[in-house]
Amino acid sequence: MVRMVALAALWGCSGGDGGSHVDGNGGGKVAGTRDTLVIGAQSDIGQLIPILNETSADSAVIGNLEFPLIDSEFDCSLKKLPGIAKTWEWNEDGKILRMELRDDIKWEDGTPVTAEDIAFTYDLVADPTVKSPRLQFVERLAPDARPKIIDATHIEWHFTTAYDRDTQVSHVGLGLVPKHVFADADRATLRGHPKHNEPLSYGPFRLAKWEPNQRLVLEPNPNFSGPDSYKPHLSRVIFRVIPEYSARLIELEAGKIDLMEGLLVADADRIREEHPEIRLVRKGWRAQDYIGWNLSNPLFNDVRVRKAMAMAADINGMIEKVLTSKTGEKYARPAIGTITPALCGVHNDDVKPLAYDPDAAKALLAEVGWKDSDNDGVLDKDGQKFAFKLTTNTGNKRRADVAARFQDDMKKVGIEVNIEKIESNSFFSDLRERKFEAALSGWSAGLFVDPSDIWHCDSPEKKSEFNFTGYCNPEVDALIDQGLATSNPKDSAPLWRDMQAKIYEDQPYLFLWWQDEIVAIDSRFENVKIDILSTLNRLDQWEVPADKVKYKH
Amino acid sequence: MTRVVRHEQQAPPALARAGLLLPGLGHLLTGQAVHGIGMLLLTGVWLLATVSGFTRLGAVLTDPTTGRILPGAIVALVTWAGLAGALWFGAWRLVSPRQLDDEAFNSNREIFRRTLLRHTTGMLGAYGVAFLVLLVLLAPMIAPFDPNAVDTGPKAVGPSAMFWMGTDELGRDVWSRILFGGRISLSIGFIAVGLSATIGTAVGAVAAYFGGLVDRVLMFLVDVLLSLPRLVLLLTIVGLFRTQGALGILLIVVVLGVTSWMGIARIVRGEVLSLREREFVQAARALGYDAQRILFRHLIPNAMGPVMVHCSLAIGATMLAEASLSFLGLGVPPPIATWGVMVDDGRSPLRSAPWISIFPGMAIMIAVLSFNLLGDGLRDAMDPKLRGHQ
Amino acid sequence: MWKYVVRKIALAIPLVWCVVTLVFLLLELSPGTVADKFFTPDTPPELQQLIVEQYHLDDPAWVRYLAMLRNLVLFDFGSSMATGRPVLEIVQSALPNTLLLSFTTLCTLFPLGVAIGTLQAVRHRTPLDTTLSVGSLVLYSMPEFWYAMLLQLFAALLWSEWIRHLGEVGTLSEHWVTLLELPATDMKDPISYEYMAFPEQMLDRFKHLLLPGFGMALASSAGVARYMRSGMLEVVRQDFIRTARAKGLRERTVILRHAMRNAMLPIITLIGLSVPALFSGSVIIESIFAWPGMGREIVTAIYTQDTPVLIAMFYVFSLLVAAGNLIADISYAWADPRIKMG
Repeated sequence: MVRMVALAALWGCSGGDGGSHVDGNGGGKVAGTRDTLVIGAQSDIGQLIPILNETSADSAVIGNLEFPLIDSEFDCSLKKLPGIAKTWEWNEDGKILRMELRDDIKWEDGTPVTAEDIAFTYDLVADPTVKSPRLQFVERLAPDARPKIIDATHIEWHFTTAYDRDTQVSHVGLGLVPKHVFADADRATLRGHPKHNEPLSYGPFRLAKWEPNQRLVLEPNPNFSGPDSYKPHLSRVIFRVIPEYSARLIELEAGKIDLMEGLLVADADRIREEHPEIRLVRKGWRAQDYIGWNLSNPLFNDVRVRKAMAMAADINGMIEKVLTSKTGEKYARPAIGTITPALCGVHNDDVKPLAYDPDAAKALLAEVGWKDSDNDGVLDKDGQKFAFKLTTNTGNKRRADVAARFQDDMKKVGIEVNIEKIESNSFFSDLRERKFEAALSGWSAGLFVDPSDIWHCDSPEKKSEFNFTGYCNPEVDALIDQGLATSNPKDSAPLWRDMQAKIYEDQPYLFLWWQDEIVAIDSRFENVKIDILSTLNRLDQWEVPADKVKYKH
Repeated sequence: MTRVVRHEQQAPPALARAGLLLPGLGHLLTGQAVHGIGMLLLTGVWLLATVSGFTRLGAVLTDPTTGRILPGAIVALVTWAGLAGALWFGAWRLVSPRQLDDEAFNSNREIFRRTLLRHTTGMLGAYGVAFLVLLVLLAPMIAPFDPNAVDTGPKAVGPSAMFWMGTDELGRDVWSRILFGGRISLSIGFIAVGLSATIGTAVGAVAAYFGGLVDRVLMFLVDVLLSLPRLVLLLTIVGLFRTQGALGILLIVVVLGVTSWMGIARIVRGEVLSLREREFVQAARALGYDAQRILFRHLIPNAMGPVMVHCSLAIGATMLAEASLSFLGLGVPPPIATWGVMVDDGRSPLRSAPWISIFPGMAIMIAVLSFNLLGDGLRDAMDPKLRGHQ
Repeated sequence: MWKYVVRKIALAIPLVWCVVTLVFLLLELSPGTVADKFFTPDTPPELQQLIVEQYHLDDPAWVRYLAMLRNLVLFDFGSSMATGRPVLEIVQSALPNTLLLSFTTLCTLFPLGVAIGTLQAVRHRTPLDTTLSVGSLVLYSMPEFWYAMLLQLFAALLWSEWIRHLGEVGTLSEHWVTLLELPATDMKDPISYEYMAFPEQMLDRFKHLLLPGFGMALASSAGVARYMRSGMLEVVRQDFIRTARAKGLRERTVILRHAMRNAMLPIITLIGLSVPALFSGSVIIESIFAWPGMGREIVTAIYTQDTPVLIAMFYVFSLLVAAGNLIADISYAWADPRIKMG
């Protein structure tokens, strides 16, 4: 008897799938759309409520459910395009940003998107009980961190100080939370709100289905009321969650997924030869690898030591070995700072990376007093060995390889490096707490210049958030403050170039390189716009010619 | 009393003498295929070590940067000499077999030895274990390259005459890394199982000897731990208590040990319970020996047989668990390489360079298989019911 | 019968209690304060205070322990620290998938193991016996993840590539290609499942179970085969089998009716004992074959030190193990006439 019951329960459950369903237009497709794009993703989304999402997987999905306040595209710098805001302007001192809003944008359920929704969203972000990871976005917004509503189509953002305008726009451009759905929600448990997995779209796509850890399906939003140029051409977009890289690759080669990011160079080589139907796209210069020196560690507080290590590390050799294809194509270029070369005109092309020269490095170390006096192969000074721990995060093959190569390079000049890998979350919290000796990690470059979080000295009231190495140079601080106060990009560019040169001189990090990400896409997709902003930024423009359609339904 | 002298099976002397030339050949020619192949395999390892070790003895013995003598190399030399002795002793034994009197011939120990030696699969396992342990101990003499030096060859090239098992993404020689990585993998297996055998024996003996509430509580604990998914428990503990470097590896060994003693505790308890009522224990008790002495001198030693069998099987299981931890990113911290870590290294390039993970995976498989076969052999050799079968 | 069942259920309660207590102890003893697991260093102080209040982190350990027990009994698992999703929702979406996979594995692994073991015992000391012994032991000795990865590579990629090639050449019709292609990941066709007719859906489910379910069961059936083989050898020597043979019964009847039935008894206990091992396996198999189940959720929870999820997962696992034991006990009692019910 008991056995029977257990069996029934098993089959009963397996039929249900446990997925969440958002029923829309009964699966009928929107006219003029065709074919399905299948994306192989490494991890599932965590949160679909816009202000609470944390991972890039979340943003890739959420970004397609919204119509931005101010849209942007990237060409040497961020270009702002009208979104919900038809027009916008700053006042003279740069502290007030006025916007005129469209009145025709609607939520998926037909309710209009209003200034009230924007204000409600910012109320939520500013409320600490919500625990939004975007809390720092509203720190310089006044009053009450919410926009001032002038009338139905006009709002004003008031800032406590004038700062970089691109940063200001990014701070006010958060995805919106529908007030009519969440107005009465308990804010402490917003993430677990019954509607958390049924986000209301006001963008080109809507969420059709989400089966956790399995797949998430987007379909065109039939009630999208934005400009026609944003209307999608694909009838479905499916995100499949496949955690294993090799499994993702198998599915890509089998044609079961159409898009995969983060291909290894060796696999790109092979795919180029064996799979003419797969197109490989380079997504450039957004990601940097670096080794940060904890400047409070006595080992690293002499700039000559840091320079010597930079000269002892064969960065071009590593690029050659780790990031170069068989055909000799290099997927990285040496970096000299945290400003991406994609920001043309701002990136300082005159700073040349220190050349690989282990002998000069040894000489420089000897000058500081590091010599191998006991002949054990490791440099020493006052009885102390030159040995340190290089920490990096687990699960990143490239960094593991780079760490081993760096270890080998350092060994050649008599420096002992011990590699330690820790799980990503604790690694990043150690970085922020500056609990490391040397750390191999990376930046994702900002697409506008606001280096204050990375380079500004700690102030008594606020620790500089991403200043992992504890860097402090008053001259650099002065340049940053001056640059941020300059509203014309033409005038601030020389200041930023100057800053990069100064920082490179100080070598607080060993900047390794900017690498390209390799994205594989099935070649039937056309109008694919993959830019530095994100792979799926303009998913609505992707289309498949009628004769190449793979999935008919 | 007349003493009957019994000879072990006499082999044809001429063919058997071939073994003195190449240990194992004699066994093979006289029809003892398993011993022949096994010994030839070990002889092969010995010859390999001789050829590759003595042609570059200086490089093997000393650290290239400091010129100091490496302790690992000394161990290798001693192993090399010991192996030579053992191989030729085995070959000589075939030529001139032992002569045993009846009493010795029929002793338990002798029967066990004979049964085990005739147990085909068990001996395959034993030779497999010996093969791996020797490879690993002789690693400094055999390994053609420094296992951790990057760019010994081009990156990710397939097996070739120079790189027998190819190179990995960092241009390190996979074969050399397997040899040195095996040291850690096998050590983890042995130490963790040693630990679990100690805990298991203690718990099992205490539970059985004292009985009553103690027994019930301890056995309930065993049930609870057995009902937890071991890998999930391992992951949780390692994930929560993670540390780095030598402590990290110690943590893994300890956790592997403390999550696997339950089987042994049950076995020891069963054995002790049945031994407790036997005459020699009753006698010891009548003589007024205290509990401790009876436990340690009489009960536990007599329960060791089944524990040995279980340990052999457990080493395999432990090596698999260690590999699974590495696969899930919570294994031995770098730069220490184990076979599990190496399989994990080859995960992403599986499509473009499968040898990086296939060879260490095979090493794990061979090790686990050998320990399992050996364990089965030991069990059969100890089981009086099965003696004479096989 | 009912008394027996009730007694067994009563025995399961302390087991589940012990498991959650153990997990609670582990969490308490692990480095860092309880609160550390709940914030990152840049959590603002006022927020830390809120979190402390929300999760009652400043209560003494025993108060939190009792609260945890109460919540578990009420199936109130709280919400995930990492995503804020209710833990119950996570369990509800992942558990059926894991059960489907484990159940398939179980239903394949035991019959297969019993069949192989019986065959070996019947053909005792023949080359077939040795081949099967060593062969199944080889599979059994492979690291699970390594075997799974190779299975995926060879069975899914190379086989399917060959099938598709045959389709392109024209040897196989499109229908056969779709039928024979083996999926490498996922539990159902992610693209067309909802457009399939019911029989097609069932077939699709079955195909997706082939590698992670049946394929993995193949490797672990070796353990059952070993038990079955030695059990059969033991039984075959016993008097009643000799009697049966003496009565002139056919060998097939003797083996199938009499010997197997008796040798199966210990195997039933093994079913109960193998439930924890199945869950261990799910951790690895689910991530390789992209199966959306509990194994992946628990690994994520361990990486992110997601305390509420961890506790709930262990609780659910221990309930399932207890249920497995219960089913095994009852089946055993039902199959073995020597155990009296009541």
